[in-house]
Amino acid sequence: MSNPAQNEIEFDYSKYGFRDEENYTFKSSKGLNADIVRTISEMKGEPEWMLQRRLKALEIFHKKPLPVSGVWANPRLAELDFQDIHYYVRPGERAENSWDDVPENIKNTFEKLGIPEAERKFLAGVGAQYESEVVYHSLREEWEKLGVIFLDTDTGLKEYPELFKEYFGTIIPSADNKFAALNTAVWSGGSFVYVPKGVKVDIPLQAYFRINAENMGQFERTLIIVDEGAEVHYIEGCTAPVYSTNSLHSAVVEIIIKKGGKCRYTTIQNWANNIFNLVTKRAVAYEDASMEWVDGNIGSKLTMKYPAVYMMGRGAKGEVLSVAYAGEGQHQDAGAKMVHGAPDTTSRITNKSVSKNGGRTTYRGLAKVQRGAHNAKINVVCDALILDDRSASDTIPYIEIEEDSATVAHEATVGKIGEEQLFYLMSRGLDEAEALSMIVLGFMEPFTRELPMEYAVELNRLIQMEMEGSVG
Amino acid sequence: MPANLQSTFDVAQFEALLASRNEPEWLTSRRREAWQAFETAEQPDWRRTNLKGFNLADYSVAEAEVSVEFAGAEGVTILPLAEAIQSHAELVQRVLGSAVQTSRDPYSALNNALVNGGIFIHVAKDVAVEELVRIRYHVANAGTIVAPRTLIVTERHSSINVIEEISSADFAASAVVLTGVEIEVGDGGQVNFSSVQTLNNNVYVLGSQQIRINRDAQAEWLNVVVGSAVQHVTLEANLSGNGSSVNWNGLLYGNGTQNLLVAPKLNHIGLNTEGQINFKTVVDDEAYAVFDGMVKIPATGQGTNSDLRENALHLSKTSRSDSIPGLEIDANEVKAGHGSTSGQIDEEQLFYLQSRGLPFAEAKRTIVLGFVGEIIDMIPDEAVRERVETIVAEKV
Repeated sequence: MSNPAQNEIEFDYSKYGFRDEENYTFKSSKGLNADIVRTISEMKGEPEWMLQRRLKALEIFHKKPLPVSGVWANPRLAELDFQDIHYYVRPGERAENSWDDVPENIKNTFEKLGIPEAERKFLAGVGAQYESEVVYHSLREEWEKLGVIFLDTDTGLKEYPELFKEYFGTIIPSADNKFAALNTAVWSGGSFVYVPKGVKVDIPLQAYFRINAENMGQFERTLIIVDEGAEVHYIEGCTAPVYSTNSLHSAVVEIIIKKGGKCRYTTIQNWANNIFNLVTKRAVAYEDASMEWVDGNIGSKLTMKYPAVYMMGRGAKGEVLSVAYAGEGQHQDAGAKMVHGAPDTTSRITNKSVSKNGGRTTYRGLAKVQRGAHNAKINVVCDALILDDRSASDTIPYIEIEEDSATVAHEATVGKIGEEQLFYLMSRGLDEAEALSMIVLGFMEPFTRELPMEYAVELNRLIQMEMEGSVG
Repeated sequence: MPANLQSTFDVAQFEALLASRNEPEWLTSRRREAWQAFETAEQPDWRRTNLKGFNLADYSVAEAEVSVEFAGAEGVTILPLAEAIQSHAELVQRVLGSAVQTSRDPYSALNNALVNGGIFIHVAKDVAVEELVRIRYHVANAGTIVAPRTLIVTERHSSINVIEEISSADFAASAVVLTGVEIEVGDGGQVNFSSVQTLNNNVYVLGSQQIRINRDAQAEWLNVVVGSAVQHVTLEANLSGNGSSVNWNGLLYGNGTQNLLVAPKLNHIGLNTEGQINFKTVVDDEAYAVFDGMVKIPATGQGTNSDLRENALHLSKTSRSDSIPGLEIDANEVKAGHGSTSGQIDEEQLFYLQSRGLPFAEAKRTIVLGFVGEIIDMIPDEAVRERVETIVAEKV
């Protein structure tokens, strides 16, 4: 099978001799309390302010009710048992999970996707990925010459304490929502990125290259600062299913883009279907800055994720381009939030979702124009396909306009695959599954064409497999 | 009971009211249940309705003045609700409370506890009535709380046209209207129902309307809202029968400090149902209008065809409109879509009219009236339409 991503990394890394065993291990006991938070902070050797921030966030987490009903809420969250989760696992510990325990369907998917042997174990959470470090280190030298910082977040805090403190938690405060509070209390891993004034980073920064075992953490915290006139493209995730024995993934991503800066953040995640994936992602774009979220959601039991752009300077731009695929037992509750806080700002949301085999997709979005944000323009297009009579789809857009000069358009369609399209393709000799998957791929094409080639190829392959029912 | 609902009207007075009405036992016990629910209910989380300054203690229970204009036709029964409770007990019992649900919120509970005055319409099977039935509820005095209710039940293959206007005298203090419209359209029949709210700008309106549409039946539904200080009204069209359909239009026009909310819910319960929603919103000055819509297609609703359109026009920098055109779909053999737009007056249209010699104010007026005219023209009664046109003309 041809797979460009694979070609890049398919060589024998073992000769580099990186196989040092991580034998320092710590696994917090199950449940969540102040002692566990103190232990996490202490083991990381954090400054006092971070410990205090964590403890305060823990209080907020306990105070906030679980959002099971109302706006931005989902009743399935009631299934979460916060006391049955390990809140901190040191890297070495992860390797204790056995490959034998990884479910058959996940292994099969690796097989079919053509994921190399060494990576399979890493992706299944049973081994660290050493080979990527090579790539990371060579790229890191390039970036350092430009003054670009690309570190894991823990190291970022150690090496750049002042820059870190200035921005951490300013875009998504602990009190923003229950899961942001949880993340702030127990965060670990994630990326810390700073791009200095005027620097345009050509090669996308891929979390995948920087990855160590810790990055697979449940409570990643990513902070990206794009200085004036700088540009960066950050990519997280990959199409292979990420298996974890832990059932909760709750990340926070904060992005600041200063005047004239540009940032694109691409995510493709394919969580195993035992996982609650509850993520808060928000960017603030200042004057003439632009933010693009490219967000693909496949897998998980329940995903709740609404990437946001707050356009706070004149001429800022925001875009969210997302796809969601919900299969058996899955609910993709995803969308976007666009908040126009300054004049002449424009935003666009394009959402495509597909549900099959009893899956449910929900588009939940906010389009808000604040008073004084003259001439704001918002365009929202949501399309959903429901592929069988057991599946479902919701569209819940909130449109709040406090300005007369705003131009807002929202359009949504929900339907099934056209019989005529299907008939045409089948008359050309395709069987039904092939025809269906071809139509679905075409439906998602506005999204896939924005992906780097290797991701697009992998995503298409994955969707084909889902459509053929051959996953698992 | 929420603090702003602490009423001087206590349970002893409520019991005295019940005793004076001499109603059948089922209704008395329903009223008691509703009163109890009202007393124990919590303030609902209405983020888009401003009830600051609303205090139930400021009002005393009264009845709205009711007038009905209809020449009469064979097979059509129109009665004051108080009489229908006795003469058509079974029908009233079935339909009363279908829209205004005691468990929904304290205002609905209070509505069911107090419901007073109202009109009951029954159309026998195979009776088609062309003539328009005109109902008007009028609030004469400030400081009153009224709870009129309209019930319409049509038997199979019958049809009727009804317009209901809620109006008030032009008083300066406020009043409260707890509204309720509960309609059942029999198999293969048709009900055209227009609801027009022209209250003065100091009145609070809280209520619910529901139309249940049975097999192969149709409804034409119009909701025009131009009055009141604050309105919070839930609207529900239940396409319960296979092959049923609804064509649903509406207008919200707010200016000054009006806070107007409609929450249209369209439920495609039966097979092969069709629904069309088309609402227009205009906001001026400090007004705040909310369209909180939802189209639901449960798994039973295969073959649904549903479309929702909502367009908002902003005429001032300080006005606000929220639009929530939701879709919840659990069936796959469906076609559903919605479109929502928000914007200001088209500069090009304005320029064109001005270039034809119209002064700015006149040009703007022409465009706004054109925008709302599509809906206002649907009002079937000339007198009501003229009242609405006068109010709108004053607003522009």
